Amino acid sequence: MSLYLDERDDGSCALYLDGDLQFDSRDEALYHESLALPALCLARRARPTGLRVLICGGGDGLALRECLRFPGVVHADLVDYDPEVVELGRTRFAALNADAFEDTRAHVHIADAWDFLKSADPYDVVLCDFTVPRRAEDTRVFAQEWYARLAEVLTPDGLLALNAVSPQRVPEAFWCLRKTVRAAGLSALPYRACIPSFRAHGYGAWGFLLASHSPLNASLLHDLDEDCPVSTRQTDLSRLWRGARFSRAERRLEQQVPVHTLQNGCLLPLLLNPGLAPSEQEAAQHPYDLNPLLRAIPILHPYHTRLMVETLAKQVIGTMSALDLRRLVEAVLRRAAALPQEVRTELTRLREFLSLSPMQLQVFGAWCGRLFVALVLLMTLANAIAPDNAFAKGSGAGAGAHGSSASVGHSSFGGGRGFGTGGGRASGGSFSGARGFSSSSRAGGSFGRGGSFSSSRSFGHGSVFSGHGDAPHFTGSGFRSSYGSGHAVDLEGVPRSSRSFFYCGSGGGHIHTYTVVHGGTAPAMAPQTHQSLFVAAKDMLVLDNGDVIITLSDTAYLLVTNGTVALMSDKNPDPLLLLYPDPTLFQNIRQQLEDQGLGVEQAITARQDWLSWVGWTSALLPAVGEDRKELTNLQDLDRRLHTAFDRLGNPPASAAATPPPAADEVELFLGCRLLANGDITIRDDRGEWLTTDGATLTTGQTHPAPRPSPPLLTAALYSILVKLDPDTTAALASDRHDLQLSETDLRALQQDLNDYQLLQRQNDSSYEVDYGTEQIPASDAISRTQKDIDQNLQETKRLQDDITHLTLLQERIQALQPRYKTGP
Amino acid sequence: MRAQNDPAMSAESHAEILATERALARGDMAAAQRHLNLAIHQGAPEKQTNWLAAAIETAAQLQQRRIRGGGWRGFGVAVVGYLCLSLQQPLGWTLPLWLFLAFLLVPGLVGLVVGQQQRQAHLPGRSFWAAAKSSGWAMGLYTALHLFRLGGPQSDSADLGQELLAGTLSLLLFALIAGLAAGTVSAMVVRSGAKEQQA
Repeated sequence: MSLYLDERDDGSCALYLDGDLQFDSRDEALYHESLALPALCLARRARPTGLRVLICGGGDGLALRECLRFPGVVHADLVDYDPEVVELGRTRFAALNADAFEDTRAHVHIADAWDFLKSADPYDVVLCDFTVPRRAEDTRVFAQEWYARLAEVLTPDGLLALNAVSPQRVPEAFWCLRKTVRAAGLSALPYRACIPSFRAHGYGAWGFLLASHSPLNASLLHDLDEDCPVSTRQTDLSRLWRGARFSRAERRLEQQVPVHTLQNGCLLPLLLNPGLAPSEQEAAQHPYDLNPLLRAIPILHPYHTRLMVETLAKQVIGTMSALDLRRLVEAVLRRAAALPQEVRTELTRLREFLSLSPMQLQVFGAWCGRLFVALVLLMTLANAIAPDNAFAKGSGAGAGAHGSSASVGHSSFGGGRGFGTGGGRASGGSFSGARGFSSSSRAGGSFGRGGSFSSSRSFGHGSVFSGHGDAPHFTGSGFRSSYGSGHAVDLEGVPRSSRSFFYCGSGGGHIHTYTVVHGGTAPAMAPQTHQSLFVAAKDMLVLDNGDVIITLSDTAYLLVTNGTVALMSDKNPDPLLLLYPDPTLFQNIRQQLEDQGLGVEQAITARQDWLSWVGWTSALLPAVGEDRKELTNLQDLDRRLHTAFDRLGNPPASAAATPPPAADEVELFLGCRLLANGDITIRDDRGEWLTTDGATLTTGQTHPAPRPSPPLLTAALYSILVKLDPDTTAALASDRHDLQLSETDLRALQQDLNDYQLLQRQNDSSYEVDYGTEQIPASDAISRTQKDIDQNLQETKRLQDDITHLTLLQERIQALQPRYKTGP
Repeated sequence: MRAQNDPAMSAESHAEILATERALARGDMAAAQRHLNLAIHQGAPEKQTNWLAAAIETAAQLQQRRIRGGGWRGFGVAVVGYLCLSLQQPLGWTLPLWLFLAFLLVPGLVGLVVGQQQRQAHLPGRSFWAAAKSSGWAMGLYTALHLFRLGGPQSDSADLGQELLAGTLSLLLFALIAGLAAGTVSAMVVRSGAKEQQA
């Protein structure tokens, strides 16, 4: 065995055995702590004192150092067959291993580990710190028989920790080792750690195995840092458990590799030939690919590489390809007079075969080539002539819906202005205002994360106009089975709960002549019930008669028709109050209806096109029949949307947009605000502001004297406040969760930053570190991490502000609820 | 070389030689070969029969090339035709017009092109299949690409199987109709050519 010690100017050193790095003094603690401490900590749980430890290999004394500094260890045997390494451990590495060999508890044996075990006493902890095998004879101490012997000397609660190989570079060998340990009757827990010097040498993340007679699982590693009585120098034991997470695909490798035994020594080939066995699927996909064949040629010497085999094979293949077999056979036949007759006959047959078979192949190849060229030509020409019409540039329906979704996402009916700091961020669509506290509307709803003032049944289905710009897929079955049969449907075709509305008159020329607040002439029409048919937005419904409803709570809603906006309650068929017809509201509803109509029309076109191709199969295939039904329903919806558009009407030409609320006001819906003193003010159709404190109502200049507030109005306002409460709570919970995540991220980022800075100090600035998925210089990693930290701090600050504002708002709403809870 | 009235040649063999030449001129290779065999059997001079045999072989090769080329030419015409139809969906053309274009006009053109190309071969059957394959494949591609484009966003996963089946059935039916139309036209062209020649 060759031994090389790399002494550096800064006093650090690295030990190489047979050219393989054993340790680098700059990060050796990472390796030895990861190897020894988990086993010692777990063993200590069963036996706090009197621990007996056996170390196989590890003649440098570094693993021994970890054992001896661990409280409770009374005896440690170290067995290594290489006296040179042990001598270095006593002398050159004495400072590194803290004079472990001088400790009276340490007993060093220069012997073969197999021989030593023949007469060994039981141990609580066994550490196998062997060099990665490079020769067949070295693999004896990785065989099933070896682990079976170790299992015999291990106490019932004892732990075995072994230095495995890299699960990243030689996964087959790693999982073979685990399988071997398990075959020896032990439970085995694999884990890995990132050792920078190993990674720098191309060894990848390094693997370890923890084995025991009792079952082991990754959760045992969770509280390791709390159980460990000694401090670590480089290893973060609290994060070690992360290394025990392997994907299912990685674990599945264990089923594909054999057990390494003394008779069947498979470990060395697996180490030298990573990725040796191609999967059957891969082989089936590329039946003429030579690479699987080349990979099947085993490498049996450490100094042979896969590249050498491939280069040699390619040369042979090149020579064979250049060979003109037909000419060769002709030449042989010309000189074949002396050959036996049978050989000549065979050669003649071969010549005939060669003259025929390549021709067939050429014809086949030419045919395939022509077909391919024709296809490419067809697609290229079609794409050039009609890029949007032909050949899969995305479906018309999908594209249209995307446009619809995106535009609606920005057409906030609330406008996002007012209370607190985040007003300007409200970009989601909502009819019901909530301008006041739109600071948390990142997810696109008007209030918080999609709460709005819709009914609780429709609350939370904000995906239609979530403002993310996701294209609806038209994949819901709502237009097939639910539409018109008791369910409202959204543009995606997703069925929603329907809601009934009971009110007097509807649309087209209907004018409200009576309101609960202002009185008036009793309506001539009898009230009628109407069902919601289409969910145009989170809180906007289109009814079966074409009227547009904006839901505010479970009982209150706005009826927008014929240029009027009426505040309605489910408890009364007459309007509570006619609201100021804000032109912005009408414009936004109109825009919304247009967008929805466009989406529906595109969906109709898409289905018509589809059915024009396959419609004739509807008698045979029910799914195509359903497509036909869906088309009929979509056409019906399109008609109703047009009706809704017509019935919407226009506000009076003199109507102007309502001014934004003051800083301390919260807009509950358009034209209705919660004032700082807890009163609620509403702008009526004449432009006057009516103010109520729950008990009395002041009707602006017309009736300045307070009068009792109509109970129905108070009840409606109360229901809106009640609806607001869970919305605020949900928004708060979401923000708090985000804040928690953000803070966790910040801690992790700071930890990473410290690690990178430490590594940069210990090495030079060009030293490469593992930055997630790539290796980059430490300096770059530090700057990137610093940038991430800055962004994280900004996000945290924003979340904290949001939480403050939302908390204040929630307190206000909760305090106000009793005041308005006096309605019928 | 024209058939010489060789005094050594019998009248029967001379008649067969003439029949061979006429069949060759018509492009009916099978008849030419049959007459040549009879001429050889009846002792026609070897010099003349060899020449005729070589002429028949050359003409047969030429004919084969034409038959193959005709198929590809027909496919090209069909591709261009369906490419034009791809400018809009069937409903964009209105359904009756699209049916006329997709199942009559384009296959008819394919049939004409293939039939004209193979008119000399006097093999209506082969001409039918060549045109049918050209038009059928092109229609199949046209249908498949459009269905692929339209079918994706339509369906639930539960209905996907049925919609795939609907698409496959449509593709096969349309390709079959287009192929039949093109093949029929092509066979008619070849047959009319043969009748003209006979007349």
